[in-house]
Amino acid sequence: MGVRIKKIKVKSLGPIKEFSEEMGLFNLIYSGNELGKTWLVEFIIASLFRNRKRWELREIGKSGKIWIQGLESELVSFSPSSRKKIEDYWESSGKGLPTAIVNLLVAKGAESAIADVEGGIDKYLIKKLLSSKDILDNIDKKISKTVQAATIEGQEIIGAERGEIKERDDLRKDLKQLDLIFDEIDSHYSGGLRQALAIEKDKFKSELSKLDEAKRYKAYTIDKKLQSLNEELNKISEDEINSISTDMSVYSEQLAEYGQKEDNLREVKNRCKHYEWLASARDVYQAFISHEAVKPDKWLLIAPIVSGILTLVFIIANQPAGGIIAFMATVFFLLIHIRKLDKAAVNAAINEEIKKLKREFKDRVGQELTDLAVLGEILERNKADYEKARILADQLSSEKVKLNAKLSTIMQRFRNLLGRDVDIKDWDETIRNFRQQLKTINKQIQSYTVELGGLGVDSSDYSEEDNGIEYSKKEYEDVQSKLNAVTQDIDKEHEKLNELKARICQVTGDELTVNWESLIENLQKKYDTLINDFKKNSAQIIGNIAVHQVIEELREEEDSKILEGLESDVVQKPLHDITGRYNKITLSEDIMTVSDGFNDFALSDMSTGAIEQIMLALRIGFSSKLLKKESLFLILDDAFQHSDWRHRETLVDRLVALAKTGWQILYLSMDDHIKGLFDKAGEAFGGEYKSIVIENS
Amino acid sequence: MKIAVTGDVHLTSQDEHPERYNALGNILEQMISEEIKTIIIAGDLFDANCQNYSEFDGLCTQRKYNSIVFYIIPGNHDNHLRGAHLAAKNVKVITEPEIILLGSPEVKFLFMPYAKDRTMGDNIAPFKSDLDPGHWVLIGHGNFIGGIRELNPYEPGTYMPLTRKDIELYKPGKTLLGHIHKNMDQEIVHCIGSPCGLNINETGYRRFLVLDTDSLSVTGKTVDTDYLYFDESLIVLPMANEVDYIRSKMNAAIKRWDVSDDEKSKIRARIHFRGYTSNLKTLKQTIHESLAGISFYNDEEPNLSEVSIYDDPERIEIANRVSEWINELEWIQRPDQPNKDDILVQALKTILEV
Repeated sequence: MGVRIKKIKVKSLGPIKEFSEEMGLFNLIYSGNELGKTWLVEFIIASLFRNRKRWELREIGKSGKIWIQGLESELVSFSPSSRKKIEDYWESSGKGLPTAIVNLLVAKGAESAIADVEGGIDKYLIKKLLSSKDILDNIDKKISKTVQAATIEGQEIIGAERGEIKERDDLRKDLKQLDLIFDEIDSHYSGGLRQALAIEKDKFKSELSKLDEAKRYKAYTIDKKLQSLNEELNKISEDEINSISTDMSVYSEQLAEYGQKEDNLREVKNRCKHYEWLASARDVYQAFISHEAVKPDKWLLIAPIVSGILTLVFIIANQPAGGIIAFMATVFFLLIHIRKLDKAAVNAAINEEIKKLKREFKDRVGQELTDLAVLGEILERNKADYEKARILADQLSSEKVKLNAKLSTIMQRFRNLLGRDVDIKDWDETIRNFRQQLKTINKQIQSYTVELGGLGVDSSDYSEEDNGIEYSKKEYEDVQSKLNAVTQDIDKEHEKLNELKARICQVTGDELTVNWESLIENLQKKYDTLINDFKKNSAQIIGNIAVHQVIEELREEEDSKILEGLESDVVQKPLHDITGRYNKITLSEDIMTVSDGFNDFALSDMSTGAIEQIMLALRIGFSSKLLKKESLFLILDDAFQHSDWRHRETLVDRLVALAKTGWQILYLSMDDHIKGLFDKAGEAFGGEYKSIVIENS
Repeated sequence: MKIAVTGDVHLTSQDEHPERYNALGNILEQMISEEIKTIIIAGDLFDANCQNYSEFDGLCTQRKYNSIVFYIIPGNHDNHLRGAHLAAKNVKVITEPEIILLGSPEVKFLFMPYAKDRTMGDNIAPFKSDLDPGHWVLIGHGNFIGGIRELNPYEPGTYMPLTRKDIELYKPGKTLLGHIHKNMDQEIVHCIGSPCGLNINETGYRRFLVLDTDSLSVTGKTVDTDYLYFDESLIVLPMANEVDYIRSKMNAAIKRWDVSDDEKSKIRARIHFRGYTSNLKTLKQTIHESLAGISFYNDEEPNLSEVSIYDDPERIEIANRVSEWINELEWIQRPDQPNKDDILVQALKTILEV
């Protein structure tokens, strides 16, 4: 027994005030435009079928019922509010999607739109009619091609770098960026590090301060030493030392000169040491030689002889005058000679003395005293030396006084310097020592001055306070260097922190004046937003990959289901019943072919009318197959409205043929021509034909 | 020697929140049974508005507890707390960073009370020379920002943060932090967590820590609290057998909570459903049946505001097939990745939203 709509009863359905009709096998429900035909169709759909959304039905009131025969032993009533729908009476095939029975049993002009399908009919048409292709397509088209082509491998989405996948990768990059920023916060925000550095800095500053105090103290002590050295230096006047030294030199020179003179004097004295003797000897000698018994010179003997001879000659020559003069000369010479002889006899003792004198002379002078002249000459010579010695002696005497005065002066100056006497032999050493001392002091002064200058401490900053730390330039520089390094580290940390803050502000959109706590909170919010976006994006992609893959599986199952259906007798049979010609339909590689036993015809090559008949046959065949019923009801909502009149007749004829096989036909129309066709065809059904007109209420 | 450590008790008054006193009392009881004589409270012992310390004083001076020594640091909520506020002789309030020797052999504990506008590193630095790396314990109250990116939902903001750099720099042997109410355990750093759920964000069993000063190891001990909060978010789908499906989902959630039957009365649950159902009334009824004997947090009904009614069998079938597909997907749950429920919700949007 087939399934049929037995009765429809509605109240206040749109423009329909009341509608209560028993249905026959062949039914036409006619209404004028806007009089409620569509309302009634939607009421039937909403009451009998699930998935009202598919039809985008308007809000249907609950006041009304439809009674169905053939589902149970009794009539079963359905209303829009019924939880149980007609689908609940059939089990799912278990393959593909549950068939949208409403698609099969309700035709809303679908077949008329066949010609408008892009790319032809064939498989598309069958799927549209027999499967949930539209749903699958509608869902699938929400998924981008990028995601459709993407896969999941492990925890990774593998796909082309565009669309949602690129967005996801961009989000992941942003998250990584934030991860790095968080890592940087972890590294650089650490107050501990900065504080440790600050403490270290304070420590170095303190050390430096102490060293500075020590330096100022050191400067003070050096200055004191310098003062002391200068005082010492002042006590040991270099000028004085030089002056003393000059005096010493002068004294020394004078002393040397004096010595020379002394030597000279000694020499001169030596040379004239016999002067006084000589002078005395000369006088003696002179006196002696006047009394010297000198044998008359031979000439004194010869002269009287000669003069005597001459006298005789004169006499003989009778030269009295000559004789006289010669005589007188002879007498004279004789007299002289006698006198001489006489004297010689008198001064013989004197001669002895003269001999002694001469011997002495020789001893003293080293030469023979031959005569007075010799003596005189030597005496003269001695006299010069003697005079010289006297002068030298005078000079020496005078210089001795001067030397003593100089000595006294020098001694006094040494006494002044040292406070004690310095032996003359120690003078040089003392001066050397002074000079060494001066040199040492000057060297010390120079060294201290350089050191003091090196400290660079202004005299006003000298500190008398000893903090117990010994200043060391090396240590000071070392600490200063450490301080500089730690200051640099702190600056770097602050710089890094500020730079990091600026970057975070860029990310969060905060002002640079924001405090770190708020900034981190805002960054965490940003991270939350990003991670949520990333998760949502990932979930969308993975979810859509899942949906697409399931859709692909379902499409295959749907294809398989359609193929299986097309090959079944229950689908093939109405094909012949309705078309009256074709007895086989096949689908191969998306090409649908019908056969009349002799020839095959591609559906795409057939007329619209023929296609509509075939589709009607498939609708019937698949309904029977899926619902396991030989006959059901078919609701057609002006399904032939767009067909031309000739096709309409054919289609109505086919419906008649179908109804004759037990199928209940409910055709709703607002077309007078179709009404006419149905009224004419319905005559064959007698009381089973219901022509119902919805009146204007 | 063992030392108990807790924090963030947020005591107010016995009348207002007896469960918080009860949680602290339970910790003290467990200490007595384990002969632990010292407890450290790492901040926020008292709630921000609490000025009445007499009840806590009374607890400390109870005869059975007066042999326990309490070391308390103020947190950001009770930063005003001073030693003078508490009369109990066995309580020491540490208001400035201070090293205290505890345990035998003695271990240096650096107590770090909360200080506004400071980081923990700021406050540790002056003690650096006194701290033997790896052999001292930091007790602080603030955020640990090392490796943590997410906001603290209970208390957003950054409070006296401790960074990984600080840990590297000062090398505490162990760091126990108050402030973050959620437990967190890393090798060195432990967020103690609140011993009593303050609200629905603090879910599951709560704990306190026991620190062994010999080994500086930390053990968590469950606190027997008056309430156990659970906050669940579940996906519903209009499956063929929706009732069984919902029931199995609910049972799985309850199983996850891991609460024994005799403690189920302590549960205060908040459940938020997302997804689609063919029948809201049936869904509600099934949820209530599944949660029989379990109370709702603040008597809130399960939140079904994000559940839509859906009766499209084809799309529902697709959704179910996708749900199976996702369930079979080898997908490891990670904090930075969506979970399978999130994926399913997004898939459902694609499938079911027209």
